[in-house]
Amino acid sequence: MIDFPSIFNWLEFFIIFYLGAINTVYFVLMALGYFALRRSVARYTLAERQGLLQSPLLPQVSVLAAAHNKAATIRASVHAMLNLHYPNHEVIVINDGSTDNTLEILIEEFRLYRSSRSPAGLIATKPIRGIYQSRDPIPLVVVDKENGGKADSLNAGLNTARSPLIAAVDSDSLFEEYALLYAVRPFLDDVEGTLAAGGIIRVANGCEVRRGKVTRLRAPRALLAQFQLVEYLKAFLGRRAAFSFMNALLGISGAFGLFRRDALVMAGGFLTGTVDEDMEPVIRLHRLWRERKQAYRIVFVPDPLCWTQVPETLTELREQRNRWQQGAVETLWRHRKMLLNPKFGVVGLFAVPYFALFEVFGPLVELAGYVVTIVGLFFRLIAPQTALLFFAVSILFGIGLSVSAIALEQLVFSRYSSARDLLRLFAAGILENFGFRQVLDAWRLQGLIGGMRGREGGKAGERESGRAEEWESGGAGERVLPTSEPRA
Amino acid sequence: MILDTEKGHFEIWLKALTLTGGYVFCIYLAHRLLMLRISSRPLGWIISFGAAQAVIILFMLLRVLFLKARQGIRNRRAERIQALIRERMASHAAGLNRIEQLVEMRRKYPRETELCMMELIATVSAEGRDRLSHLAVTLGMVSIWRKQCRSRDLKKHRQAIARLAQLSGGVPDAALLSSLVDADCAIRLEASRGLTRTGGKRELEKVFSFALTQVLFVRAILARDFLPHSLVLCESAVPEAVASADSNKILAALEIVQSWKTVVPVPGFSRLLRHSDPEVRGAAFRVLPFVTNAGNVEDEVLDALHHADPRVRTSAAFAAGRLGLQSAVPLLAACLHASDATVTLAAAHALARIDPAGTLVLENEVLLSQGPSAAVSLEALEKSRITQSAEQAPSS
Repeated sequence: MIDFPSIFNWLEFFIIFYLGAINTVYFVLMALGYFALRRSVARYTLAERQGLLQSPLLPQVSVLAAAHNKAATIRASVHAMLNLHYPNHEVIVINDGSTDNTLEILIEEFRLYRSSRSPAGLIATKPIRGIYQSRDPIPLVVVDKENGGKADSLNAGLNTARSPLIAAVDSDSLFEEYALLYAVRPFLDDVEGTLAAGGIIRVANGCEVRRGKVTRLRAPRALLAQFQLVEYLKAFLGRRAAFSFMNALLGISGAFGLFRRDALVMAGGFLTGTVDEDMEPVIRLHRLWRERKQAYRIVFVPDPLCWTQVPETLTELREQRNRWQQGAVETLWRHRKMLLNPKFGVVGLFAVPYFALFEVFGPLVELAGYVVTIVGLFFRLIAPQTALLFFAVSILFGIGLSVSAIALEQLVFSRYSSARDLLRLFAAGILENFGFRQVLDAWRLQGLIGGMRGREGGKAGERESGRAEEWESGGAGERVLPTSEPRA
Repeated sequence: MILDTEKGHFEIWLKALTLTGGYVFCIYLAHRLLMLRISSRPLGWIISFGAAQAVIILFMLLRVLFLKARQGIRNRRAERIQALIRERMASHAAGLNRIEQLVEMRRKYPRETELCMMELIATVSAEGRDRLSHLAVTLGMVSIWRKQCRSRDLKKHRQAIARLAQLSGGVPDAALLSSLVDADCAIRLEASRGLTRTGGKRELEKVFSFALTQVLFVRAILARDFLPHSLVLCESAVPEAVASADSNKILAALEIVQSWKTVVPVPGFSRLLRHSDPEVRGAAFRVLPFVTNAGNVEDEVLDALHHADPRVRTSAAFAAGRLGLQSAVPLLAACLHASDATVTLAAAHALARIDPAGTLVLENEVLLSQGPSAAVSLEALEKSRITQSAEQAPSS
C-alpha cells in the first residue's frame, strides 16, 4: 500500500527546503552585491573622466556590431557607435548577408570604398565578400559577408579587428555615451589579467529617448515591462555584482561586452549554432584559463553601458525566455565537465552548480511545489500549515528579494528621480510574485525540456533579423530589441 | 568590480554574512516572541518569518522614500541658494572681499557652500584659485577635510583628498604627500593629481616616480597631467627612470613620454635602443621619433629590423617610417614577407611613408606578389593616398 500523505509531505518538505536554500543564496548574493557595489571604485569622478578622455594611453577598442537587414536603423546605429566618448576606438560593422540595402546605405552615408584590408583568418567564418573603409577620417570598417548568424559575424569582426580589446555589441541597443570608458576600467586596473568585462543593461521602456540617447529615466508604464525591470535589477545588481566579486561571473550581456581580443581568439571566438550568447564565451574563457592555471579576471562593471527594450507582449516574452533557458541548458551541457570539479575553483564548485541547480532546474522544482501543494491541500494529503510554509518561503521571500533589488538600486545608484516611479517599481516588485513569476517558470520549464531534447530553437543570428521596427519615445529613436539576459 | 585589497574582500564577506546572520536572528527573535502566544510550532515559524519579511520590506521602502525626500529637499534648497553663494564666491575670487557674507552663508548652508567651493575652484586658476584656497581655510573647510582624511569611511576619505587636491597656495598639503602610499587607488590618484598641480619640482618628480609603479588607470590620467611639466621631468626624473634596472619602470616611463606626443630631450635614451629586454627595446623605438637628443640612430634602427623578436622589428619599422630612413627600405621590404602579421603591417605602413623608394617597393609588391604581403602593401598605399588627398583637400 502506497502511503500518499507521507510521500506528499516528504516531497513538500524537500521543495520547501529547496526554495528556502535558493532564496537564502539569493539573499547572501544580494548582500554581497550591495557591499561590493558600495565599495567599488569603478565609477569615475568628473576629473578622472576628463583626464581619461584626453589620454593617449587608453587601449584601442574595436566595436563589433553584426547587422542583418537593418536598413531602417543602421545609419543611426553606426552614428551612435562612432559618437561613443572614447579617445581611441574604431567601429567594425559586419553586414551579415543582408538582403535589403543595408550595405548600400552604409556606403553612401559614410563614403566607403572597397579596401584591401584583409582579415587575419584566425577563426573560420562564412566567406567574406569585401571590406570597406571610409574615405573620410572616420574610424569605420564594414565587413560584407555571407549570412552566418550573429556569432559568425562577430568572428568575422574579430578576424578583422586589430585592437587589443573588442566590444561585442548589439547594433540596436541604445548606448550610454561613456559606455566604453566605463567598460574599459577593469582593463586599466589589470591589463594582463582581465579577460572580459560587462556592465549593467538597463530597461529603456518608458524612458525618454532623444537622438538615440536616454535623456530621462522613467519606470515603464506597462506592468509586464515593470516586472522585467525588477528582474533585471535583481540579476545585475544582486547576482552579477556578487559573482564578479567572487571572480565567477558566468554571463556578459550580448548587448555590450568587452573582451581581450587575443583571449577570445585563443578560446576560439564566438560559438556558432547556439542560442546562448551571454554565457557561452564567458564560461569558455573561465574554463580555458582555469585549465591553464593562469590568474585572470572576468569583471562586472557596476555602470550602465546600454539600454534595451524588453518585450511588452506575452508572446514575445515567452519566446525570449524559452530561448534563454534552452541556451542555458545547452551551455551547461557543453561545459558539464566543470560541474563540481575542483580544478575549476569557485567557478566549478559554486557558480556552475548554482546555475545548474537553481537557474536551470529552479522552475521545475518551484512549479512542482505549486502542484504538490495544491493537490496535497485538495486531497488533504498535507497539512495547511505546511502549505502555508511553502507559500511563505516561495512568495514572501520572493517579495523580499524583489524589494531589496529596487532598494539596492536606489541606495547605490539612485537613478530613478521620481517617487511615483519608485512606488510603481515597489508595487511591481510585490505583484510579480503573484502570477508573473509562476508563468515565467512555466515558460522556462518549456525551455528546459526543449534544451534537454536538443530541440532547435533557432539561430542566435536569426532572432536579430527581421525585427527592425522603429520606435519613438518623444523623438527620433530606434527600436531596441530585447537581448540581454538578467541572469547571474 | 574593482576592489583594491584582500582586506576589502574579507570586509565585504564579513558584512554580507553578518547581514544574513542578523536577518536569521530577526526571524528567530520574532519566533521566540510569538511562541509565547502561539502554541503551534510550525505556525509560529511561518508567522515570525512573515513578520520579519514584512518589517524588512517596510524598512527598505521607508528608507528609500526617506532618502528620496531628503534628496528632493536638498536639491530644492541648493537650487534656491547655490546661485547666490556661487555669485559671491566668484566675486571674491575676482578680488572683492566677500568673506563676511560667505562666513554667514557657510554657517547657514554648510553643505551648499562646500559644493559651490569645489565647483568653482576647479574652474579658476592663478590668483583666483589662491584666493579661493585661502577662503576655504577661513571658512574652516580645510580643517574638516584634513580630519576626514583620517575617516574610516572610504567615500569620505576619497572626497576629502579630492578636495584638498584642488587647493593651491605654494606648500602642498601634508595629507596629500602621505596619501601617495594609501591602499586605495582613487586616493593615491587624487593625491598625485593635487601634488602635480600645486607642488614644486621635488613633488613633481616624486609623483612621476610613483606613477611608474601604478596601474594603467593611474598612469593614463597622470601622463596627461605631466604634459605641461614635460621639460622639467626630462631634466632628471625621466633619465633616472630610463636608467633603472627595472624593465617595468623603463616601459612605464617610455609610455608616458610617448603619450606626450611632443619632442623632448631624454638624456641616456640611446642606450635603450640596444637594451637586452626586447620589450624595452621595442618601446624605445616607438619613442625614438619624439626624442631630440638621440643622435644618429640609423645603425640601431637597421640592426633592430633584423631582430628575432617581432616586437622589436615592428617598432623599428615604425621608427624607420617616422624618420623617413631611405637606407631602411630594403630591410623593410624583407619585413613585408615576415611570418608575423604585425611586422608585415608595420613594414608596409613604414614604406608608405618613405616616398618614393618605399612606395615603389609597395607598388611592385602589389603587382608582382600574391598573398598577405600584397594585400597589406595595397592597404598601406590606399591609406597613404587617402591621407594625402585628405591633407590636400582643405588647401584645394
